[in-house]
Amino acid sequence: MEKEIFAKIQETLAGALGVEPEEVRPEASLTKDLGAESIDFIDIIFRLEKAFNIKIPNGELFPGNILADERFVKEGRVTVGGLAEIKAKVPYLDVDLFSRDPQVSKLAEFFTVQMILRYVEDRLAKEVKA
Amino acid sequence: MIPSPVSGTAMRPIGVGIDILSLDRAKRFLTAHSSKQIQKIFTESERKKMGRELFSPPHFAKLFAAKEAFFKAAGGSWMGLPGFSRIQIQPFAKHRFKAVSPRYQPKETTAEGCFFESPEWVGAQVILYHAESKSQKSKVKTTIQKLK
Repeated sequence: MEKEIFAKIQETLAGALGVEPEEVRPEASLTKDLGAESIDFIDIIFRLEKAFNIKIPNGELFPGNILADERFVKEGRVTVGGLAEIKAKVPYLDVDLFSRDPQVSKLAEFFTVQMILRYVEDRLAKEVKA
Repeated sequence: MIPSPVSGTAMRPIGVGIDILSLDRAKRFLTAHSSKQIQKIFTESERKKMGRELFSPPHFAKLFAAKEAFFKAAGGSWMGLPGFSRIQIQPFAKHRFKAVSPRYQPKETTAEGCFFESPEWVGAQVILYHAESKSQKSKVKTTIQKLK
């Protein structure tokens, strides 16, 4: 099952980002390794919803909305409270690694293929349970 | 402190953002998704004003780049899908626009920008200004009058 999900994610990301499916490795960063830009994040969300027949609520996969909250960002850096909020709302993201230098502008670098895989697996498992 | 290109009043720039989007990328995006999904990126007013033009690559790319340039001018982070639909782009002259977002814009600021384009891509630049005091506005007005 996990292999099937990963293959589908590879195909989805390759289509959105215009890369070869083999380049979509679990550890790959969407921005640094696969060249994703903001339009690609929206494209990825829409394509994942279609491919897995799920609805991805705002901020559940890519935590954009948290960063618009003044309590969580100070002088271009995510605050301790902000990091805790991201960890709680987006447990699929490696917040510990990001927290070493929590610059808001660098957060997207930590969006990885692995993060999407974990999210989709979790979502599909929850739907099976329900 | 510089005069705003729109109003001529004294404004202090506090952020600059630039974004470009290739027309090929815009076309690929528009082809992959339904109009219902694409509309989620825009405000109701933009949807009403642009109508079907919203789905043409050059128009779509212009509005998208303008919103992204605004994000960069306002702080540089990706604000997620809801962020895009909370920024209003208001073109007011050929190649120029105002960007308005009560949610993402610091208080007492104005965002203005311009579009630039090539046959392959479209770009937008946004400058976020902080309004200055009346006396400073007056000084700039006097300087502009002298220059005229």
